[in-house]
Amino acid sequence: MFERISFFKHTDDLQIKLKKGASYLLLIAEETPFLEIPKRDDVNVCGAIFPRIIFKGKTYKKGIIAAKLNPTSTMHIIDMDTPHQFHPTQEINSILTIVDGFSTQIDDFLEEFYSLLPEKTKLIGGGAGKTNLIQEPVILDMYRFYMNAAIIVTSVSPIGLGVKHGWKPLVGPFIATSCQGNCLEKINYHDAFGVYKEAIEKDSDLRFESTPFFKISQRYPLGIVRYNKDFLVREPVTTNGSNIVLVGKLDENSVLSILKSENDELIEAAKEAAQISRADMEGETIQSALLIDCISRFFLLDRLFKHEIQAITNAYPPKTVVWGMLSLGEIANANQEGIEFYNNTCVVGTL
Amino acid sequence: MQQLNEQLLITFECVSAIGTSLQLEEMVKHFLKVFSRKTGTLASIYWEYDKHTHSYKQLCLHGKKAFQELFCIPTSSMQNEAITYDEKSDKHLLHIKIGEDWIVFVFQATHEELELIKAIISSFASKLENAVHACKNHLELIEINQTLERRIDEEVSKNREKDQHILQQSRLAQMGEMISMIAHQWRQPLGSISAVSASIKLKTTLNRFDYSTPEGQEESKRFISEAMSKIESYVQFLTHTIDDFRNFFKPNKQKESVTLSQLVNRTLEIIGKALEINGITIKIETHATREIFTYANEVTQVILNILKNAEDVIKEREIHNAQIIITIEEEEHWQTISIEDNAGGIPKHVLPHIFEPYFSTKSEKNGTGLGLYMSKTIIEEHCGGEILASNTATGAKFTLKLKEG
Repeated sequence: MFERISFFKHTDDLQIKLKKGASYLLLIAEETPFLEIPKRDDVNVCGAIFPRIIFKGKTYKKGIIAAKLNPTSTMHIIDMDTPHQFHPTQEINSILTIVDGFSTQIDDFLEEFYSLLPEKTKLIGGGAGKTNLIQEPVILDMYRFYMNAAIIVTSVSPIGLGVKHGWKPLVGPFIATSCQGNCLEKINYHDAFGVYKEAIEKDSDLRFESTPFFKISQRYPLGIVRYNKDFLVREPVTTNGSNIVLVGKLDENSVLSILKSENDELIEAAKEAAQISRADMEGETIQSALLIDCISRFFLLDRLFKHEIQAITNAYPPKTVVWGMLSLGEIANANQEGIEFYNNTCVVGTL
Repeated sequence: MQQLNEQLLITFECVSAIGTSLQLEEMVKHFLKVFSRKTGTLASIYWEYDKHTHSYKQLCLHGKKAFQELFCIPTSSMQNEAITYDEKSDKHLLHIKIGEDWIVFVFQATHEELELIKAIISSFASKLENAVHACKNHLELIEINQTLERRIDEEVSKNREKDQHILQQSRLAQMGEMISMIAHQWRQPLGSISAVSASIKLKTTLNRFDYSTPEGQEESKRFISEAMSKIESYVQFLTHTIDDFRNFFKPNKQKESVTLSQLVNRTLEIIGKALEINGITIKIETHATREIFTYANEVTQVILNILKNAEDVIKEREIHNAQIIITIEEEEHWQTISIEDNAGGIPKHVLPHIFEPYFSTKSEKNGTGLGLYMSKTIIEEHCGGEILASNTATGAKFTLKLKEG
């Protein structure tokens, strides 16, 4: 999919380093000072802004990763309201998609997008956005910024995929008896926040009165139960004292559990994701490892996060470039099934 | 135990996804979406049976379209809850019959896993079938309602045409009556003109005037002049009659302020002579003199119709000392005209039907059965009043109630 991954501290460097006639995917850390991408007629560029970017085992809040597409890959931006404008050919084996992480269309977009994929195409991706949790135009090309849009990179090269989160049920199952979009109103017919608060305060010394909501919710995400499969993690982002707002939609009457994990279990899950991804890779040659990890895991693991990256790096031969982004929602379809929008999950792609 | 718990939870979610809409496609799409997400279905299709063409059509496809070619149109050999294997794609297909319809799922799973998934869907298949029936019944009900609405529209349209036809017939009948009334009005003046001209002819034929003397010439001139004046006055009367009729029958959609007494007099100018010739005495009692604001011509036509009916029945029953009493009264904000005859009244079994269209007791030649129907329409729908019919000790009584103001 990509033939060269480079890191730049400043946008000015791009002007010099980008090769004539090539296409580049730019991953831009949200604190990188830049107004616009230098316009060059001889280079095709699409980019997205993330809370942080990952390059060679480190995360950066400032800087740009420029991933040069190989000649058999294509890249374009589509409106998330109209995924049917995407027409993949049967030869496509892998897709990287970066969506607007705060779009309300993510689930519908992914559902229709999945229906259009060729039978064996694997997909990896993540949600772009900033940590201020406000929807802004974070997808861009050389001409403009886009909101509610998605970058689609398609390639004939195969990829390996691994998806793991490491969360385990603390209490449950519960029924989400009332939901509106991404707002969970009732759990077991009671105010969702009341049920959530009671379960967490019973398990820990954390108190919602004295601790910011997101600090607690990072530690205790919700898990949607699936048959014979791992939980689908949904992270609460805020509350009004009775409802809980989640990243991503939740269907009414979904069966939920409140999840919990220890740091070493999260890191172990990341390692497993990398191992699964590597084992899933059909080809022998590994060009790089693309890590799409949740920004919440970064905040939660804090100084230990470097161990998560290290665990992933260790799963690959030495000198394999591990790069990617800390995202707002992760995307993958590991087993040919529908594309899922995950939270608090580690998605590893072997390219 | 863990597996059973998961099965139960998934079953709960899938059952909750059934019957969320009465639109079949919407309901099925939602169910397939939830079921697929929970069980890892790669694609699923809903085949709906068309009982008219006895064939299956694809209602919806969920999941990857790339698997479309794995779905074959259901046949009679297809077995419910059968799991088949497609070697080429290395995929399993699960077939579930829902009433006459079929759902087929594509899985990448082991046979054991599929058996458990099958057990989940089997546990609520009858509920799904009922929900599908509910959607289809709902659709049928909508279609029935639409057919009903269409039929009502057709009937309303037919009735409008019928009304137009009735109106046309009524106009023709009115014209016939008008000609008859003109004939009555003209008979006497025409007779007089004829008499005067005959007298002129007789006197000139018999040489009654001596033109050789100045006196004879003068007498002739005077005679001719008087005769011509008479003829002139009769012709003026004829012209006046024609004007009356023209004014009376010309369509006038303007309301005007008028007393009921004026309306009765206008009517009698038209039909009075005919009544007089038939020996019918008209008696008018006026107890109300305030003006009302109404469609004068239309009300006059109604009065005329009732008087004409009275005349016809009096003639038919050969009533001696026939009389019609017209009474004008007022009751609070209403003014009424009662027209009462002494022709014996309306038979009891006929009375409830006299305002129905095409109802007539007159011989076929004379009655259209539209007069009173049109009268009722004019008074009640056009003028916002009321028309009533009853029997008195001696005859029939019609009352027109009209609002003041």
